[in-house]
Amino acid sequence: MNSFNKKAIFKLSLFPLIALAVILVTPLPLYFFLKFAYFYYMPLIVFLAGFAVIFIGAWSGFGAKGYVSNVIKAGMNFDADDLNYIYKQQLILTLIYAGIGILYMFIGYLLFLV
Amino acid sequence: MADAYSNKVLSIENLTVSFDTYKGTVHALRNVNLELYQGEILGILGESGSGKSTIAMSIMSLLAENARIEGNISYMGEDYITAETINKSRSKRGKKILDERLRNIRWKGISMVFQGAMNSFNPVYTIGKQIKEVYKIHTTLSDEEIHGKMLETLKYAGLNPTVLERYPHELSGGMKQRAVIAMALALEPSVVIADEPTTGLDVITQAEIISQLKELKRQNIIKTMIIISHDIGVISQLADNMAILYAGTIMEYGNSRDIYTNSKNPYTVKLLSSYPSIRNAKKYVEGIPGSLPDPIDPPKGCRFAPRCYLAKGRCTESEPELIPLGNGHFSACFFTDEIVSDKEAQNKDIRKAEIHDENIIETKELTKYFDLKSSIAGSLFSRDTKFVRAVDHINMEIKRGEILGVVGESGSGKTTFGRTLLKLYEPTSGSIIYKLEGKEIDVAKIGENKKESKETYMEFRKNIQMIFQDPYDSLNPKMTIFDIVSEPILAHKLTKPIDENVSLMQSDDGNEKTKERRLSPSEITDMVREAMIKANIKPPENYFYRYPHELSGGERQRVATARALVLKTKFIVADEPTSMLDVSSRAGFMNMLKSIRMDDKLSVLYISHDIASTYYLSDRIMVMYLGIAVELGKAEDVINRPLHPYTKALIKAVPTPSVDWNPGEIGIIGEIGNAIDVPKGCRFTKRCPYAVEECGVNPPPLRDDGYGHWYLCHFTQDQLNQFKDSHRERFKTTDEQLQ
Repeated sequence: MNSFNKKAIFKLSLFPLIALAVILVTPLPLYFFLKFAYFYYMPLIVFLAGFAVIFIGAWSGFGAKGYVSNVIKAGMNFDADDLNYIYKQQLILTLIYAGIGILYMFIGYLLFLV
Repeated sequence: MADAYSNKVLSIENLTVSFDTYKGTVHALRNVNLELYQGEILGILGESGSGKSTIAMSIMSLLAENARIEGNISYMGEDYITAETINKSRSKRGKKILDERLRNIRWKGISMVFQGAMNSFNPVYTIGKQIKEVYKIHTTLSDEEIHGKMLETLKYAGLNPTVLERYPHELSGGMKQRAVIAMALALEPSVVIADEPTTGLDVITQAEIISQLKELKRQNIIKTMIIISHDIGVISQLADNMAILYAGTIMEYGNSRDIYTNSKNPYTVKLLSSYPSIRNAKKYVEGIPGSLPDPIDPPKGCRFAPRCYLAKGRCTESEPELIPLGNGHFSACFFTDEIVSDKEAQNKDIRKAEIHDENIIETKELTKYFDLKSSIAGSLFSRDTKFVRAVDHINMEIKRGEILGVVGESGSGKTTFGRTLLKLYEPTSGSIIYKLEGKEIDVAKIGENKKESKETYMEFRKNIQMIFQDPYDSLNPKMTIFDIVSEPILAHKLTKPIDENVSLMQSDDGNEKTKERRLSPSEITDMVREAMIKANIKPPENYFYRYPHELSGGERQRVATARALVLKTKFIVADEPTSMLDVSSRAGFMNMLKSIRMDDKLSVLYISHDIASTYYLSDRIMVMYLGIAVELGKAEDVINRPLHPYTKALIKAVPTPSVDWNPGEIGIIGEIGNAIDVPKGCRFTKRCPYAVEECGVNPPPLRDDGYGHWYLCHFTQDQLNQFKDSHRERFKTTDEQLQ
């Protein structure tokens, strides 16, 4: 009963990873057209995006508010165990987002070195 | 009146209340005189906006800053609210003196059950903490003593002590209302003001609250009470005396029985005849034409004159005073001798509807389950996979020109059923078959074959419409009435043949079809005009360029109806269309729906928790409980000879607007649960006083009386009657059972 839903965690973790891929891939046409000015700022942009991901992970409820409201509307039981479970799931996602944020920063640093 | 009750507790003399607003002065109350004696229950009845709650707020001195008061209110012989004290209170010192004085009266002397129990509690504190606050502020009792008192108060209100530890959202509507009553009784006040104590509650909870209040009065825990309501059924059950309020003035005052049986004011007569009741629900009910006067610029003379059937020249020149008619009965009318009760109107023949044999819609095993795990958030946070069985295997059919009423408590799945029929919710399984002009459309399957699905869907949408519950939310405030009503014509890109006799053209699939053109603006205007006239919005031109906020609730609901009718719709789902309307406009709306159904052979699914109005409108009634249909039959049969124990309880709980109504043993236990952990057998098992072990294990069989009236139960009527005779104690709604 208390096992974590890995599929849902994976789906929610995918958003910042896709965003990272988009940030890295979209400037490629500029590279092919020899417009290198953007690449001067790109490491900083990726680094700052890492901060944004960490903040999103920290502040987002990941839909918990809507879920709790649906549970109450549906008249389902909701007790302290449910609340703990929600907190744990949110904590895991916050940590994952923090990890992804650090990944952003690391990639930004690598780009800076390159 | 003074003879019947020993001491005067509260007296209101020449109370006039007005509010200064930027639009002008709103005259809320004018020269109101009322007296309340020890042991009396006074009912205040009137439409919304008549000033009922303003009286209560004036007594509690909770009026807004912009209120101006004239006259005075005294409690136990002491004038605590006068123009002088209120005006002084505008200074800081004056305010402090008044607050101190009021603190001794509020809750200890006069307490109040506020309107809308759902919002009366602070959601972040437990019920216990909030009741405790009353004792902390007004007494010097220790925590232990307070706890003891709180338990006692909860017992009075019929609540379990565990409620103290719960948060407001954990309680049902009925329990919350009881908790509000408990809070009001905490300091054993001399006067309790109950402002719409049953509004928004289910019919069964409403009956339980009425019984509870009656019991508290009998035990002298509630000593003296003012009950405010727009529902004559509730007032007539509780009040000894009644004041009928209209546009801030008292139109009639007297003994409840006198007023009910021998009204001497045209407004009261019309108001009483606006309520359909279960006893005479098939008789014609007539609303009151027009609406309440503008409180900023009230008419000269009698305020009811513009809507009164007896009005003469004199009525618009001078305002009638309250005239004593004997036996403590007063009426503010010049023509009290000419007033007769409205029996004539009630006995008017109701045109017999023509119901066709062919079905317009059929559902087979229609099911709608909601799964909280279907969203990412749901799957992330939900620990269990559970379904809300909102609609569970419903089989029914509606014939052309028929009105099928659906009744049941909140949470029984009525609205979900209506919305699933319209495919606003995707059905989980089962079929919904619409029969339109010889064509059968299985709505549940629309979308499976993409090629024909769009065309079929548009065809289905054109013929099926919905009238929503809340006319204040269902109309776009930025659009004019003309735009709102004409929107479906534009959305469906309605066309008509260019020339009906000639010109066939080749369509994409090779078939020949008539050349068509879009409708011209004048044709659209004609369609809008026709729909608005049908919906009784006359003359339509006067409304074309108005916005929804300029209309009353009744007019808005008529606009919503016109919008539903403009495409010459064949079937309408009306979801509690009268629940937000004022009493006087309800009857008008229901009569309009009846007449449209007759003229256009319209089929209607009428969803409501108001059983009397459903009986008035419907040809057949389906009773729903926790997602399933437990009984279906002709309206007369279901109301007069209910077969299922739930229907029996539901009908018994409907308050009849007569003083001698007594629900007695309602025959139902507790409150409706949720549709998640439903019993394997009969859904009603947990609340059924007839239930035996088998009921919770095996699904009940369908029992048909052979005339289209069926119910789902393990027992025949004879078995139920025998059971009732041998187990009488199970039918008593004791305090324990209510928990």
